[in-house]
Amino acid sequence: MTTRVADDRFGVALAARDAACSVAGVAGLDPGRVGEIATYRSGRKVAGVRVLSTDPPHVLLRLIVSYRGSLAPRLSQVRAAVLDSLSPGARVDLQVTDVQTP
Amino acid sequence: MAAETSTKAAPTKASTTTDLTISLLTTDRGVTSIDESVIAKIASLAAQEVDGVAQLGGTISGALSKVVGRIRGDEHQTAGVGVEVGERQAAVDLSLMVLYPASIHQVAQSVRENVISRIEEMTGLEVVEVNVAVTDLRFPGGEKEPVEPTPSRVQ
Repeated sequence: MTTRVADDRFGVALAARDAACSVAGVAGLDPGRVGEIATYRSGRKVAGVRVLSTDPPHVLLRLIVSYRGSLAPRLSQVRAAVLDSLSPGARVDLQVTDVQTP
Repeated sequence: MAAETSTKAAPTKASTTTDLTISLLTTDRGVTSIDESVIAKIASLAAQEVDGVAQLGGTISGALSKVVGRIRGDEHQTAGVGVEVGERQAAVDLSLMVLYPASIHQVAQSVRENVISRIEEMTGLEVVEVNVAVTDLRFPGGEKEPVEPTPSRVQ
């Protein structure tokens, strides 16, 4: 497994997003109704991820999940994948906000 | 409606959530929560999977939600669905229209079973009750279908 040590907020958000979206059954990330949940860098943003702290990393991800199957194992998988992509000692908060219509 | 249920997670969640959220799992590596709207949507999808269900919602709320949905551009309607979610349990209220000539009791029972199994299998919450209110009977002929827009007379 790859361990990327990204120190800045944007790097943390990017790593977390890529890790979460690589899990099957995650349809995407939810930026909120007006796009208020995002992490920014000049000219770019990662939607649906909020970095609460970088040392140790603490991120909040808002997930859109697909309709079929049990959520619990999928969410553990997401947490494991995101933890794996961040520095050790990270915290990952997951909030399921929507279901993708089949 | 149900409110915050997690005691440990409250400080971090309060600053990040905008609507009602239930927390299912608190680990030392972070919190997992599922929004109440997610439960409502699962209930809505599960009910519509049952043959014999014409549409969710009452006659008025159905018409209203169609208009509102069109304006807001969201295809997922949770009209006709009310949920109450606690720490481990959920209760669902549904109003729906049955397609003639399906047996209303059987449709209601199938809806109840499907909603319970979908919510329980997806979220792990125990569904304590599903109340089904049948608001109307719809006919396959489509007497209440929306009127087709009249084709333009000029090309």
